[in-house]
Formats: sequence, structure tokens, C-alpha cells
Amino acid sequence: MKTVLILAVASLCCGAGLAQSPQGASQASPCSNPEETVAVLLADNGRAPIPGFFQKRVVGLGDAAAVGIIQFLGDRKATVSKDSTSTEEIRRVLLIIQIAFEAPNAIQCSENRYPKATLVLLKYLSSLPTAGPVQDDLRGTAEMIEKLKATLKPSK
Amino acid sequence: MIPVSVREGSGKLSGSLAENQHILVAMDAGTYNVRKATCVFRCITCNGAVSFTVAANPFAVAVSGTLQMSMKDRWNTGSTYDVTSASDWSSSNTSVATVDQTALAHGISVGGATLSAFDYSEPLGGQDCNYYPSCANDMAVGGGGSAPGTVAPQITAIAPDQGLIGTTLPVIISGKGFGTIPGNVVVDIGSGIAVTIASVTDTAINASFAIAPSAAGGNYLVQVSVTAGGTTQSSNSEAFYVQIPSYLLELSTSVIANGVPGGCSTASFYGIETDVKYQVYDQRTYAIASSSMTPWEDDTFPTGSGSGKVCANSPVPDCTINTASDGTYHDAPVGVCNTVALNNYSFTQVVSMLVNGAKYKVRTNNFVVNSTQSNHGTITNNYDINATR
Repeated sequence: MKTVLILAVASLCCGAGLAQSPQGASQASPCSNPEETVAVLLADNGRAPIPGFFQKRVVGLGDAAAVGIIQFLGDRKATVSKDSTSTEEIRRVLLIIQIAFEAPNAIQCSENRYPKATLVLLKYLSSLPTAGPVQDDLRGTAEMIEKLKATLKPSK
Repeated sequence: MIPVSVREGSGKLSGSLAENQHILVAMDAGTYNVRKATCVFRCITCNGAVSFTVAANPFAVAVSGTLQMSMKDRWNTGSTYDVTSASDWSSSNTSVATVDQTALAHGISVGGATLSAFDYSEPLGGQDCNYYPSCANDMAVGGGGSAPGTVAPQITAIAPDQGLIGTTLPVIISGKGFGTIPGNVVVDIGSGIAVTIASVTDTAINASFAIAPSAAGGNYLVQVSVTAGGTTQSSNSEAFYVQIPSYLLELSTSVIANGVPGGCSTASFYGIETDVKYQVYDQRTYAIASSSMTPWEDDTFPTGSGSGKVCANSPVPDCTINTASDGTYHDAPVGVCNTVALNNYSFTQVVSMLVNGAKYKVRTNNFVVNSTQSNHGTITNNYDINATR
């Protein structure tokens, strides 16, 4: 929980720099709120279409995507022990994480380039009962993130 | 016909055409002075010029420019003659303007001068014009006129001759007669554009034009005034156009491959993602060559809406782009992917350009995506964008 809070603060700090609203523009920038961005992609039980508009926002999120996913999933939890994340949603989460880190140089906020929350999220997802059918995907994504992590210097 | 009974008197022989005309005089007998057509010596007056007019009056010529002057005289008979080439021409201030003997005036430097012409070729009307010794003059000739005028600076070109609203851009005003002292030069363009002069040579003014976000779009007239020798002369006017982002032209659309940033993740996905290149145009549909525009989109999807800066895909995905210096940009990815088929998936993209805090709508795309087979899909806006994966 502490990790989540710290990362949430970090991501909001970074998001302020990404969201620049023009005068008179109706601003609902997904850049400033990773949770809103991933919520669109996790809708319909993880089967919602992925518009390019949101896809390109995820590309720049990096570790903030994992923060947004944790916030989105946490918002649905009634208790600590209960979790309703479906297999399809896990599959979509993995896709979001892959997109979020597929172009590390595109991650504007340097503190989001290091996958701290992402590693925690992957570990959590792999422990869910619904993760059985996607264990291979989970492992593949984890390997991709581990490989990326090895090339990066952790942010403080 | 002079009656036989007339023994003396005077008469005037005139032609019907002008003062200079061959006239055949036949006499049976008499005393006749061939030149003066008189029979006796007495002081008489000539037909001739009574006034002279120089044109242009006043004259105005640009520095290094030329102006053809002219002079005409008017006779007592009412006739007028062009005596330009027969006259001697001179300038009161040859450092400002000169005039050659073909009456071509040349602007030398900014200031005022008077150009004069004197004609010796024709008799003066009302003056003595016979050879009789007791008469005062013999065929009096010579008269002329003058015209005051100015030599003004001249604008020959403004580069660039257009600029984007809400931006500040360097502008070079080319021409002649600007002098070398910035303090003596004023560039007037009207309200909405603030001009700062950086340097001045006689042939170029280096300035910056700050176009206010509130400036009206369209043509502004640029005029240069130069003060020299206590007088201020103004140039001709040249147009400068304020561009407002008004229209977006699709230049090309390409499909983004599977598995690369912006593309559908794998071949198992339905849908299509594209990279669309656009050119921003102004209200005349002239390209706006400026990197000061930030593309912005307001999108509406079946599942919600979103707004933000338009993103590009190359060299890396980037959602902080501005237009390139030629006013083009890429929007990528444009489309939709999914793990299930897409049937008439529709979304609207309203594109605007942000310039210095102002927002200018330039285009609306009503996209429709269809994909009934994985690794295949089509996208169209039912206008100029059609792509197939």
C-alpha cells in the first residue's frame, strides 16, 4: 500500500507536466490520470476496443500504468481478501504493461521508466486464482520487464 | 484676297493647323517682308509661349528609382507643345535627386529637391520679334518651369511576407533608402503587430514582427518612414499576411505494422492503426510554415471521450509534438485494435492547433473502423482517409 501511494504521488507529479490545457479547451486529459486511461482499456471486462488515442497515452506512461491499474483494481475491491479480477482483465493488463514499456524513450517522466510498481503488480496478478490460463503470458511479460529492468538505473 | 483698292494696312496670315505651317503667299505687286510678313518696319509681337508647365508637380521618386519628367508650353494661341527634350533640366539638390537631359529624374537619397527645366527653342508670346533696330528685343525666347518633389524610401520585398498569429518572427524588409540609423526609421503596420527594429542598412531592415493573438487575420500594409535632413518621407506599402490555422490537409496515411509502438499488438488482433501526415493551412488555404503550432485533439468514443496533444510515432512515440517548420505533422496511432471483431466502430476526432494559448479548430474526422477478420481492418473518415490493414 505504501509503495502504491508513493508511486501514485510520483505519477501525479509527472502528469502535471504532461497535461497542458489550452485556454477554453475542455480538458479531460488521460495523461494526467493513468487510472482514467487504463480504465478505458479495461472496460467491458478487458474486452473494450483500444483506440489509438489511448494507446499512445499508455505508451508514455511506463510504470505509471501499473499505478493506474492498481488504483483501478483497488477501487473495485470491497475487502482486502476479495478480488474479482477476471482472466480477460489480466490478459488486458498484461497488454497495457507491454504497451507502456515498449518504447522506454517515449516515457516522458524519468521516474516512471523504472518498473517498480509493475513488478509488484505482476507478482500480485500471478497469485490470483483466475491467472491460471494466462500464466505463460504472465511469465513472458515478467521476463520482458526483468530484462528491461536490468538495463535501467532505478530512480530514487 | 486683298481688294485692289486697298493700298495699305496690315493683316495676319494664319494657317488652320498650327503656328508652324507652310503658307503660300501670292502677290501681284507690293512690298513684302518675307520673314515678318510686314510691309513696313514696326515693332510687333510674336505668337509664342506664354506659360510653361513641368510634370509631375510635385514629383515623387524612390531612392534609386527613376521618374520621367516632362515640360509643356502653352502659346498665346492656346496651343500646347511638348518641349521636354528641347529644354535644359537641372536639380536644386543633386545629393537628393538628379535629372538628366532626357528629363529622367533619379532618386539619390531621402529628402526634398526641385527640378527645373528651361526652354530656348520657341519664341515668347507677346514679345518683340522683328529685326527692326528700334524695337526692344529680337525674337525673345526662353522660358521654363519647375516642380518641387521628394525622394522617398522604397520597399521592394518583405520576407517572409506572412506569419502565424500569436507568434513573433524575424522579418527582413528589403528596399532602398532606409539609411543606416535605426532611430530614423519607423516601420508602420497598424495595430495587432508590434515591430521591433534590430538593424538597418540602406537596403534592408532587420526586424521582428510580434503578431498578437488578438490580431485580425489577413493583409496588413507595411510602410517605412525615414527621417533625413529634418524631413520624413514614407515609402510605398507592401502587404504582410497574418495567417490563422483554418484547415488541415491529409498528405498521407500509412498502416502501422503489428507489434511496433502504435500498431496492433499481434496478428491475432482485429482493427487497424494508422499514421496520418497532415499539413496545416491558413484561411486562404496557403500552407502555414511554422513550428509554433501544437496539434490538439478532442475525441469522442463509444466508451467515453478524451482530449490531449496529438501524438506522433517516430522516431519514438511522442505526445509533446509541435508542427515541423513546414507546418506538417504526424498523428499516430489513429485507429482502434481489439481482440474481438469490430463492426462499424465509430469515433470522432476534432483537431485544433494551439498557438500561444489560443485554440483554432482545423478539422473534424468522423472515423469508422471495421474488422471482421484478425490481422485485417479498414479505417475511413468517408472523405480523404481510407486505409486497409
